[in-house]
Amino acid sequence: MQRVRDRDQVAFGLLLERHLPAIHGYLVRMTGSPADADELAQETFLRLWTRAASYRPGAAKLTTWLHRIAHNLCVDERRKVRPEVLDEPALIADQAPGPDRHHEARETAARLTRAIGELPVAQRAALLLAQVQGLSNGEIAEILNLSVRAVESLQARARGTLRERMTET
Amino acid sequence: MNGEHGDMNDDRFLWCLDHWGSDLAAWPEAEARAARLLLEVSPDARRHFEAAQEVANWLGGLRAHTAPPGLRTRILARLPEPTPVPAVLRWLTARMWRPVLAAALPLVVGFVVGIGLPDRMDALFVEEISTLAFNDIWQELDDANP
Repeated sequence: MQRVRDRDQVAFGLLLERHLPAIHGYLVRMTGSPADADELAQETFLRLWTRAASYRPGAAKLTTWLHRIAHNLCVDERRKVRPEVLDEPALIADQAPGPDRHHEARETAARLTRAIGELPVAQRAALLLAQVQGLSNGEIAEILNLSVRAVESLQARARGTLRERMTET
Repeated sequence: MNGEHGDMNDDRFLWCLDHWGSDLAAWPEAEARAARLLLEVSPDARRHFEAAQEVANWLGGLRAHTAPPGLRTRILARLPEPTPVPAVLRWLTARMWRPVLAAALPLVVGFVVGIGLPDRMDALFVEEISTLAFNDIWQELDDANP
């Protein structure tokens, strides 16, 4: 990161290689649109480049900082337009079920994708950041600017909604 | 859902399931033990548990995400051109002690030069002050005694 602050493009390229898949994945799931995710991922990393000098290693991990930028961009974008039509293939394509369970898996994925898309943004973010992005609740609290208890509560509500959706006949 | 198992009933089970997830190993030991007993006898609890596991497995499967090919290149291509910064300025701002040194250097030089000046300066200074101070008196004396 020090090299990125010194405007080293090679170091920035390495950093992109390491963090782009996770950030792009998060944005695809949050926006439901691969095209929007592409745009927001670009913006996220351009901000990293231009604001590298303001990054304080002691204050937050780079992953947390990047997710925070990505999440804020996502929320800002959502305020401008409200695209709640999730692009299901974008999410379902990530799953690779065996041929025998293909249809069932697709159906489950489609149902869960819709259910996640219908969750309020904060619940969706709290759940995805923990269960997909693998961040701790402390880090998620930092990203969402909430207390850890609030994050836990959001996750519980999100899990409950998805679980109920799965048990509906 | 109305089965009772120790402190665990179906409602309590769902609360725990939503708060701690479907991995019983992540639950507090006593709650996990009671939940296992409940799962043996409550079909509703089992149904919800399996649904929660399915959700968790699906979410876990989303971790392996690949960014679209070319996105990295597009980002690199959009990086703004670095503003040319003079080498001296870059050297100055790279480390904290450097601007401090740059500020202190003229003071040190001034001090050393001041110390090194010859005493003759003092003599010249006294002579100039005397001239200015007594010039009027000499003038008056000259006028009184032409």
